[in-house]
Amino acid sequence: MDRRQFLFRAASVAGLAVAAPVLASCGADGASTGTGTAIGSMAYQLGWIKNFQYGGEYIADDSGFYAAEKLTVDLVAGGPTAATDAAVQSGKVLLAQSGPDLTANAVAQGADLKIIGANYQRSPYAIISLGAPISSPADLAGKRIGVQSVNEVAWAAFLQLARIDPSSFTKVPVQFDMTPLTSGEVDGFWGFTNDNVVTLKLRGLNPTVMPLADYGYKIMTATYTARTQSLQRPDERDAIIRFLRASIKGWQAAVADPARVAELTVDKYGQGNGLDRAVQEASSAATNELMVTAETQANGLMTMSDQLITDTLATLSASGIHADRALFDQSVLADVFAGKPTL
Amino acid sequence: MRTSATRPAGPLIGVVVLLLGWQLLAAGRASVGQVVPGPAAIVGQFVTDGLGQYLGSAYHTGRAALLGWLWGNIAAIAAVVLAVVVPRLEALLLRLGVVSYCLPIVAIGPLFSILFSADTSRQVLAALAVFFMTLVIVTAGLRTVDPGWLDVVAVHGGTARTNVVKVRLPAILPSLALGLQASAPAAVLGAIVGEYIGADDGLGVMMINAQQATNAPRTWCVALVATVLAGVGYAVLGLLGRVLLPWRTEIAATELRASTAPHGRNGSDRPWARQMASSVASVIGSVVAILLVWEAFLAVFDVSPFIGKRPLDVLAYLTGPKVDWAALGADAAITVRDSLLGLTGGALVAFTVAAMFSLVPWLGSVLMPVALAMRAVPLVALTPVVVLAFGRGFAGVLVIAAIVSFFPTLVGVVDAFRRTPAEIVDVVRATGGSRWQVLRRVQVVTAIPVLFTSMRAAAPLAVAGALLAEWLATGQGFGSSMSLSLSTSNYLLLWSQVVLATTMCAALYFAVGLLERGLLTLLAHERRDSATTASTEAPQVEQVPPRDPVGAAVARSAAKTSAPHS
Repeated sequence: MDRRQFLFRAASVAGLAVAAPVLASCGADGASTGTGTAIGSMAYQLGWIKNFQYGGEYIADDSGFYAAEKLTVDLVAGGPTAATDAAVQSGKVLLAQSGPDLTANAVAQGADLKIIGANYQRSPYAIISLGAPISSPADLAGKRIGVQSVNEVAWAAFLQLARIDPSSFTKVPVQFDMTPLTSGEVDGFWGFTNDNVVTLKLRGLNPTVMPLADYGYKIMTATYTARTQSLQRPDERDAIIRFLRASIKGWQAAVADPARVAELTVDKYGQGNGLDRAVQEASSAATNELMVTAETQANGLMTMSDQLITDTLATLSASGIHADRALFDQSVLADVFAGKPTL
Repeated sequence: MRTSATRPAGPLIGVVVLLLGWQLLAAGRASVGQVVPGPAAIVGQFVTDGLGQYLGSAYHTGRAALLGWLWGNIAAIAAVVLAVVVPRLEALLLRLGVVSYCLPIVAIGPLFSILFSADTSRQVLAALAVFFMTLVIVTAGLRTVDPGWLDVVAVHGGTARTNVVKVRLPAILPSLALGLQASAPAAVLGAIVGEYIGADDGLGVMMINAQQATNAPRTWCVALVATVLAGVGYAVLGLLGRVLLPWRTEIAATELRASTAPHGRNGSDRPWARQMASSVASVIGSVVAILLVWEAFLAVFDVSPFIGKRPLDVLAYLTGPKVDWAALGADAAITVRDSLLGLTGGALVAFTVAAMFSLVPWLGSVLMPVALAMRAVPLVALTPVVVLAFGRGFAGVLVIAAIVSFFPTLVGVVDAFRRTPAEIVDVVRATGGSRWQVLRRVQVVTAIPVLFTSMRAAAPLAVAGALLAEWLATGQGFGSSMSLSLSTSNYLLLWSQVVLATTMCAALYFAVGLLERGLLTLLAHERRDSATTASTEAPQVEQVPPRDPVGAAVARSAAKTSAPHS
């Protein structure tokens, strides 16, 4: 909704409020299906503010891959409290980046969403330590571990899968700022292998990294979420397939050239926001370890193999999130790749 | 600020001493230096990044703040004009304003960011921050209309319309100028909070990147640039106000705040039972109006039923079997505790500091500008610092909630101390009283009503501070559970939590208002008792007790001080 629309509607709310006593019974039904996105243009909701995490999409946009598919793509910035599944469900955007835990929760609350592809084949989550090294779950005992509230669902699942007694350590609420770790306020910090670890190393520190994926927390993430009805409507499904085809071409280029990702992130898409080129390039390179596996080399980037879906469901169930295979739709990527492993 | 104009060296020395102490502290302890880098590190970072980097981000934030300031003020002015034309709506509009001020940004911000584009979202948050501030200040201006002028119009056969056009509307111009000025820093903070929730550019986004890169000096540079931006807005509008309204007189902060007390406009001459009935009816009317605005908002903005829950949905949820009252009650208890202790703690410290400033005037002139500048530092940036110093426990929350309620109280009380009538001070000094006795016997008594009016204005801020601290630091209370509801897509619970937190905040606001009103009535009665012998205008005092609390208090203290060692 742009400002003109906003102002018009805000004026209407004000008008209604003022005329409230008269219009006491005027209860319009709040139901709406959202405005359908015109097929020549669509919006993709990012999970975070614009940084290296969307390198493939930047390249697809900058290199004209979207234009070749006759698409204009609005890359909508997310942030620390972005509710991206809700943005798809409410019809604000056609596609969003989310995680299977978040999407499964939204579905449990009545959202009609499907996961149609996975950027990361492996979870980037890790417990990062600087002082006394935490390299295995046993090392957690007696430590102070900083976990963001947004990651608490995933944290509970990890504890169960790795069979860790939650009372054996102290959980400390933190945000994404690593100061609690560098200042020694916490011993371990919930962070990303392709972000926080890179930042610390480039600052000359020597972090110990315990990837959760190595201890039972097997889950795909950075997933693409769409509404079920979008996948059923031919025009919207077609737009999603064109978007993914162009984006995957972009990601193939991104995997091959992290420097290009850094350049586009710092100089174009995240321009002016104080991003560091070296950090963005190193993070982009570290992301390859999460995206490229034997599976994706055989079947293409973003693939959701049957095994990965099974592992993901087991991890979700460990945190009390009940989902089934119907949460995933493998048919979109099948249409995108048409039997080839690269585009 | 007359002191800073006539003695520029005072604040300058204060700033230099503060910077030196800061540098020494930062250099002395590595763990402190990481979160609170010394001034040298901050200046170094600023030079490395270059002015252009900050100007660019400040431009985006400033633009959003300016537009939000514009829309928020247009809405506030429209509401005030409506209140002038239909005076019956005034109380209703003020209550809507209080509710808008009490909405928890932790929950509302992300909802806006789903509904609107990121750019619109930050403007809306800025507008929301502006609306209540201007509404309150301008409504206060309405009440300061000299009844004599209305009498003049009546004598000359003027109609109600003449009253509105010739007297009431022109009379609000000075307070309008003040509202436009005071709301400028609020707009900047609103825009930054909007960016912190998610945007393409601006100081808030730069702050996220700086924090993610654990670049503390840059985080502080951004916070300081935000402070300067807010200060520039405040100064420019102040200058414009003086140029465009040269006849504008400064409105006493005490008079302003006292006049906004939530009292009936013409209540005290009516029987108690009728007053009560009329208050209850008015509260019910406000609740109905709020529910209608809520419904209208969902309908007009076409909010998806997945995220937008209606009043009846929330009612059904809260009265249904699925609601976990034990959890909601525990959250409410923690948030109420955090807010109340933050509010009283902040007010007590502010009162003490104001008293110190009064006893040692040079200390006030040195530290007051620094305190005012710190007011504009975004709390989001301050939280990590507070957490390191005071921990993530109760003390940390207390400090964060207290910091937000500290500044408005300090400004109000310092102002009240400064306005103590010189004659009374002279009386005490002439009878051999010390400066300490002036403070204890005169100034403290006159400032207590102001303390309460300031605390009422600070109450919603204390709640907001507590919620923010719970979200960012402790992981307890509504601040934390609302963010959990958001990440689990439990929007029904989220709306229920918003309703409970907002109700709690509004209740706190009105409860402090009731305390304030009781106190003012008490003081006014004492004033009447002590003043009837000297003045024949006592009945007029009775009609409008809260109009002049300071005068009442002064009369009371004068009566006491005139009897030696009472």
